[in-house]
Amino acid sequence: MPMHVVVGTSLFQILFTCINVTVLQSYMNHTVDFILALMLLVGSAVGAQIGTRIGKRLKAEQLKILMAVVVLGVMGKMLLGLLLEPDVLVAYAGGH
Amino acid sequence: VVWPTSRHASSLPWRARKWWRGGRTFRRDVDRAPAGMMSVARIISIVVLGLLLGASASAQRRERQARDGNVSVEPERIGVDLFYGGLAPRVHATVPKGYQVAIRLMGKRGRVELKTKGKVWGVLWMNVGEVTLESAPTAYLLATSVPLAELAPEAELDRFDLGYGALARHAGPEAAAFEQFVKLKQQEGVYRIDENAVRVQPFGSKQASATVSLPLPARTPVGEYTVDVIGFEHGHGHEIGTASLRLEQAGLVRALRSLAADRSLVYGFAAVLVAIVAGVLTGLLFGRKASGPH
Repeated sequence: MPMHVVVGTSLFQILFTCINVTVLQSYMNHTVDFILALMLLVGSAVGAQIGTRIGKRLKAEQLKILMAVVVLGVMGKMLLGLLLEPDVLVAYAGGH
Repeated sequence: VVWPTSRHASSLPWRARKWWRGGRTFRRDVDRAPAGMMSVARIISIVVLGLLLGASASAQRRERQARDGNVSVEPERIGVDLFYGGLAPRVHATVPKGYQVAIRLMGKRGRVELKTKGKVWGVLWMNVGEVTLESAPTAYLLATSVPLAELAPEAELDRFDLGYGALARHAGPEAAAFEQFVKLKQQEGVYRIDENAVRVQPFGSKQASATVSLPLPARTPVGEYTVDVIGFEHGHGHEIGTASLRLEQAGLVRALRSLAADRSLVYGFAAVLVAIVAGVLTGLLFGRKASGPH
């Protein structure tokens, strides 16, 4: 199958899965935060445009290095979170 | 400058009243004075009038407070809308002269389930268990006129739920977990003790007014809160009065919450619709026309 057909088809089927899950989460669990979703949407829409423009000015190797630095940075933060003693030794149960 | 109305004229002293009604006594003095002196005299009169009216308004507020009850909170209702960033309601109370004062704002008590963190394999800090606090308030703000230790002995403070030690005794057997829970709530800003924050000012021969602002952060849960004022004399506490404060959702936040709770299916489809419309709009705003298959 040609690659461009794969991308479009995959996005199309994900759309229905997302609609289904969003409606069910709203109906069953009441866990869809409308305002938060809108803020994420605006942030990602604007961020994607900035990212695209910056990406065009960088070489492929520079992009790889940048991506690796971001991934390593997140990994380092998570590792520190596990190794250093937290300020508070309790957290809310139940996903708060 | 506060300009008096005719309604206020009766509460003014005799000389000022004469001036206000265009009485002869003041005019005679002014007529003799030169022009510069006249304007100075007028400015002084206005300042004096302003002070008198201010004092009168303050006295009226105290009288109203004494008549309506010992404790008042302003505002009594706080609307939490989309742009709510916290508020500091002001508490006024009338207490007997010579009393030290503790003002406590407390939310409803309830069970709180917590995950406890501990070391795994001696290296990693992870969730290692669960603990339940039987009775912990949603918010706890305490302000006192003197340090808590000087207010009363520990047993007396416990009797009025003053201080984290008193709260811990209600929370159940998990004292260590409660201590950590207090830290968690302090980080959120909803548990707080401010010593020496209550301003006590005597008025009249037997009374004093106690005032404080209690800062409620944006994360304070909505609901009903009680504000209790306790007066202390020689280490013994006396209930002065209670007022209530209500935090409630307002505007768009309230509308969305009621839609999500009462018509969850409609809410779900609306969320999907908004997401699709937002996606189309983003495409229209930032998208470029495709120049053929990739």
